[in-house]
Amino acid sequence: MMDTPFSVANPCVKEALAHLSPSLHGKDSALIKVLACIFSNGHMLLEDLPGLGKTTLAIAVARALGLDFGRIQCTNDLLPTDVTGLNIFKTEKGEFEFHPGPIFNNLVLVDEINRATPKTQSALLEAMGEEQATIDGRTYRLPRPFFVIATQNPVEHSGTFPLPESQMDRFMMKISIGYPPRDAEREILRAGSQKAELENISALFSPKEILRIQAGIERDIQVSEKILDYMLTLTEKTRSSLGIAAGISTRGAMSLLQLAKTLAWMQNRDYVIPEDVKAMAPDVLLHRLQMRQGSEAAKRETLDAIFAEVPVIL
Amino acid sequence: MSSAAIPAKKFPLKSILNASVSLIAVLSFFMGRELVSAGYTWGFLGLMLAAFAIERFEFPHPPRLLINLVTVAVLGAVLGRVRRSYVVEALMESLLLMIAVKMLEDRKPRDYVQVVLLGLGMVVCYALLSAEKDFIIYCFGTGLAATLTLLLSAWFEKEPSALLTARELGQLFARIGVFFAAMLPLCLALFFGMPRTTAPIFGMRSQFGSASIGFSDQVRLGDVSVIQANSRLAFRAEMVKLEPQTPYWRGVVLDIFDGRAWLASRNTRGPFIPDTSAPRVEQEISLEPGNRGHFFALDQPLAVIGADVIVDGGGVFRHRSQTMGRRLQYRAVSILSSRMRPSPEDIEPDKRRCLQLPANFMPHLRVLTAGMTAGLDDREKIDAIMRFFSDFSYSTEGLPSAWDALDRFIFADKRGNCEYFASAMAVMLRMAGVPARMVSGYRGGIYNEAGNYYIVQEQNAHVWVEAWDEGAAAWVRRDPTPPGQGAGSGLSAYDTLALYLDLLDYQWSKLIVAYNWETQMEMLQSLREIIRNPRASLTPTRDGFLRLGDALSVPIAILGALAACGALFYLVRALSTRRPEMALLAEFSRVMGRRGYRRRESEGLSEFLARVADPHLRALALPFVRSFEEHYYGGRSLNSETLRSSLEKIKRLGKR
Repeated sequence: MMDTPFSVANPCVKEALAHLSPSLHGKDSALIKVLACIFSNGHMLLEDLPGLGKTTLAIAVARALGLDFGRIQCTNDLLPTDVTGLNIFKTEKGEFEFHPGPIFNNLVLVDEINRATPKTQSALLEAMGEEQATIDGRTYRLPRPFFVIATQNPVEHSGTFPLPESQMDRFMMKISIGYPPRDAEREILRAGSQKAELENISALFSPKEILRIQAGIERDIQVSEKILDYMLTLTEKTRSSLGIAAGISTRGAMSLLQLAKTLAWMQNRDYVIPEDVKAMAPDVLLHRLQMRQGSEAAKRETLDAIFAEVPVIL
Repeated sequence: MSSAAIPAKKFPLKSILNASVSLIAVLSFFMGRELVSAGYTWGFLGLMLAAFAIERFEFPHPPRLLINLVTVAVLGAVLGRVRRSYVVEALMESLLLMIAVKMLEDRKPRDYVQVVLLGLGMVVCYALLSAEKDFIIYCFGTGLAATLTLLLSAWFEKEPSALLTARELGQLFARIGVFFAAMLPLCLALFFGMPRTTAPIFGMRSQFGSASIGFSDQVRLGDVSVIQANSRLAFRAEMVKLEPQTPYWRGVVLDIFDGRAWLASRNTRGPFIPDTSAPRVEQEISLEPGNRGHFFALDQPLAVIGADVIVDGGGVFRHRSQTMGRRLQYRAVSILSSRMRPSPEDIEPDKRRCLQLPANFMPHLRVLTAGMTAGLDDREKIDAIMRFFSDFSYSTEGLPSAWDALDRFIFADKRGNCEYFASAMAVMLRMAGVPARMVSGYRGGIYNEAGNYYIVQEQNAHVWVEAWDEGAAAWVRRDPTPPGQGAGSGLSAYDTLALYLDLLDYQWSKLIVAYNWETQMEMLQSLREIIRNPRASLTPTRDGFLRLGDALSVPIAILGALAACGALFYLVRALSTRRPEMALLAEFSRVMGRRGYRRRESEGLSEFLARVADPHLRALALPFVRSFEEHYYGGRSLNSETLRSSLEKIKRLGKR
């Protein structure tokens, strides 16, 4: 697998990167992944310590892409209706009126998702999966495009409800931003808070355009039989590997392929090469693998070993 | 740079393909010419010329439907003639016809492959019918042309209008050489392993008005006018080389003459008295299967040791059964002498039998003989009659063919083969009162120095005279036939090669074909001995040990043949699935490997390229990687030019 920085050749992605990087020091790689996830019509789980710029990243992306932005701060007393919205009886009209919750936005940041109770989590995840919310028996379609960035704190455990493995599968990617490099951090420290600047980021895209790009990727990027074979062999290996309790699901493989296609598009190719698959694999596959025993590091090693085993050209 | 300026001469792929297919057709024609009736071969030639004209002057090809209908009709006619004794010939005829049809058509890639298969079919049929040395030429020729055609037709399918430079052509031929070298074991296996029809499985070809030379246990004059040379193997005799005398191989004694034919009497004789001063020669003889019933051994055979031997006496040994369907191995001990002293009780009856002539037989010959031998003693009479034939010549053509053949031979034609010479001499001796008989067997043979054995072919079949020498009380061998038969001395390189191939064939038949129960027991015995006493068995019983080696070489040879077949199968499979882009990729890997960069199996090309530290090399390799990926993953048509030019650049970088 590769951890080399992605090169981007597609002009609109290039432009977006150039547009955003002044306000997001040293987060290029994460930014590209977020964009890839959006163009692949998937959701993202950001696992990081507080204070590393998760919110900044989400707001900046929402601005640049011209998306409505909603934010949910999860606590253990958060109710499902706090997420989805609720019907309120209007006495003057004599009827119920629907008040949409924060989920009715194009881009929703769900902070510390593991602090919400399972009931609320499941309401949220249902909305993510079905792109709709059901309130009092009535179903409301969520706006399109719809994209969730959920964050969770990997260290804090008390009073949390960790996401069950089955729910992890709903996130297309799970990434972490990590600490910024020294030079980037210096820049951040020098510039100080840039909350105001974030407000000033102009929109480069519109929701319609994003839908068009998503459809374009789906339609135009070729996946040859060889790539399918490659991916099938990979998933089979994860399923038959001794150390792994549950391998990659079909949804996982679909997500990986979708992201590989988007990456190919970002690099101005109209066909997928194995490197696209490899580049996206860690962020797509690691949180889906369930090991029999061992740590996160062992997971990574196992996956690396599988990738080192499967020949690229058959 | 300069090569780009001067346009190199290019050859269209299609014409090379046509040439190689034509070669297959021509070879098939020659194979057919020997074995198939003339009408078919000439018809084939006509169709070939028509095909050539169509190709050369771009006449329209005849419509496929018409061709197919005609083919079906003619095939029906050919196959209707199939009889039990006429299977392979009919098969060859139909193969020839189908090749001709394929040549007439506007060929598609699969048609080329079909011609290759038909041509190979011809080779197999030819191998079934003929044991000629030419088989090697046909087999190799067809094999080479078939390999070339297969390779080219695969190419033709992808790039029908491709032009090849002389250099590419050279590389192609080099590659074919390699493939063909791998195919060689199959050719050799076909040559040695094919059941060539010495046994009457497929029926011998016979042509009217002619016969081929071969051993026979009766001699009849005047039946045929032409005798064809026949290089079919009769037997091989492992023994010391006889220098300078020509070996005579004794078969059967013909002592009865009925005026037209010489026959063997059914009398048995006692053992002859061996001449103790003459050298003894031991032979190990491997007799090819055939319709004979006689054991052959060097004149004069003292004993024949083998299975089912009946001793007729007088140096004649018969097999229990009249026909021998399988190869026989036996040992013989002979005394190298031209005189044979019979046991005393046989002398008188033999003498009596060997003076008999039909009443009033050829009176003018009797007059001539009487004049020639008047007043001479027995020995002088024999010499005088021998001298009489000095102005006669040897011939196998234009033989007198009538009831009075002997008369014509002596008084008019004065040429004939051994049967005429020996008959005439024996008759004249009997007229002169000297008991005489004929012996039928073989004379001469080619000595294979590499294997220490004589190769005796059917064309070595011979008849000579034994005359009674009263003074010595012995039968004396006299051969009136002038040399001229099998006198080829001075072997060409081709013959030397053939001798080596024959040695291989001999070893094959000795070790593989004659590998039987006895050999197995011998091997088991040796094995047991080794296990029981390994130290002792190593040195003293060297013979047994060697024999074990011989015996073991059989399974080893079989394993080797299997391995060769397996390798061939693998190669053919690899050949059929190997795509041009994979060849280019292998070349790329090789070239990059030379620069110190090896791609792992699990590594993508772009990933690999990113690893290349040298920016110059990376820039040169980038077009290859891009173009390859575009084709391999992007489904674009293969851009060989970009790939090749990128490869060339990397190679040139290596040279700098």
